[in-house]
Amino acid sequence: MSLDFELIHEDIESKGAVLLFHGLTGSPFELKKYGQFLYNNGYDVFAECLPGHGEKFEEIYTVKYQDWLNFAYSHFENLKSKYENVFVSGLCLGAVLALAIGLKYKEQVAGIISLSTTLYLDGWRLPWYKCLIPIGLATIVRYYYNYPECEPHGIKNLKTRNIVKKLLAKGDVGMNDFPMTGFYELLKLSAVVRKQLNNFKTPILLIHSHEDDITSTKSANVVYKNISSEDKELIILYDSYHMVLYDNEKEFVFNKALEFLNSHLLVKNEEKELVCI
Amino acid sequence: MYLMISKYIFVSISILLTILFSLRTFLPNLFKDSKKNSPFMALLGGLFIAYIFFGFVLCVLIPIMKFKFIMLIFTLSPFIIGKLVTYKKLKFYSIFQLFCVILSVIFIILI
Repeated sequence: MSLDFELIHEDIESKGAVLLFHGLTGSPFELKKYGQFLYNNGYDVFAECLPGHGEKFEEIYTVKYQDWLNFAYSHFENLKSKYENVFVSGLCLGAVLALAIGLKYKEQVAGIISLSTTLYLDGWRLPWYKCLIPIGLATIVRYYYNYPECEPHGIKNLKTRNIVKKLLAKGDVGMNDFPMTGFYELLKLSAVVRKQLNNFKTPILLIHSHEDDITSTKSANVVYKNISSEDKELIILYDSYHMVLYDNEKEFVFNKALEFLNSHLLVKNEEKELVCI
Repeated sequence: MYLMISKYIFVSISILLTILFSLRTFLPNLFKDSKKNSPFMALLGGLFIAYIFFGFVLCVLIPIMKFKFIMLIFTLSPFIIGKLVTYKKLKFYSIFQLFCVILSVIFIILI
């Protein structure tokens, strides 16, 4: 069952396009409400399953971070050929891919919204020996080890957590295990992005939870401090875990994202008018 | 004395690692349920890290230069194989990794 979605305005002209990327072991399902909200506010929204996250679980073992990058780049280029304003937003792995797009297409991308950016695996849910995880991942063990999805599933809100738990058990909305090969590729991608952060000049909104169970605020702080963008904002949430789009502060996140998109559209339009004059 | 103690620890870790990794490689049906698989593989990962750590300790303690170098290759073998391995050739590289661990034990016992 495909969970990809495209929400395109047929009747009115949209303000711009928003390309969304889901997280590691996730699916576009986790972006659905966010996408719908942006669509209702005048944006065309696009979200597709990342390579390795298809119907066959084995696919995640063969995917490389370059496949994710190529996928992200080609989708961005495709949208850019059709829309003036293209924004990119993502959660977890998707946030890192959004940063990668910002690095490569700094002139073309209108803005980046990076949610729960995962540059380090250092959240509170990870075991005490988490500093040894990268060593384990560098060995053959990563192909044999799937860390089972467990409480709190990145969600602080109990009601939502129980719903997601049931959906995950059915296997309808994402993977029920974390394959270590996926983490390995995510960390490699993060290292590539981290090295180039000082070349990042695109407007960016970073949203990260103080209680993120997968990756601490260190990731967002590293991005915020090292990028060269003059237009940057970091918002820390205090009542959510990793899945900020489903947790207690989701409305706040949606509204902040919309505020960011609208404000950066205005800048573009004013620039266009000035050029015309 | 430190060399002898390190040798004993390294050989013990390697034997345990060989047994557990052989089980995982040749009897995969035992580990289908990832929830049961998880603690077992966490232990295996820990043994790999211990193998690498005591391998480095032995590299330092072994007095002869050429033996130090051979030991370093064995110590780094999990990283080298980890870099080369692909999902399609997983079985082959698993057997190769087992072979390296067994060889390192024989080497350490002989020197």
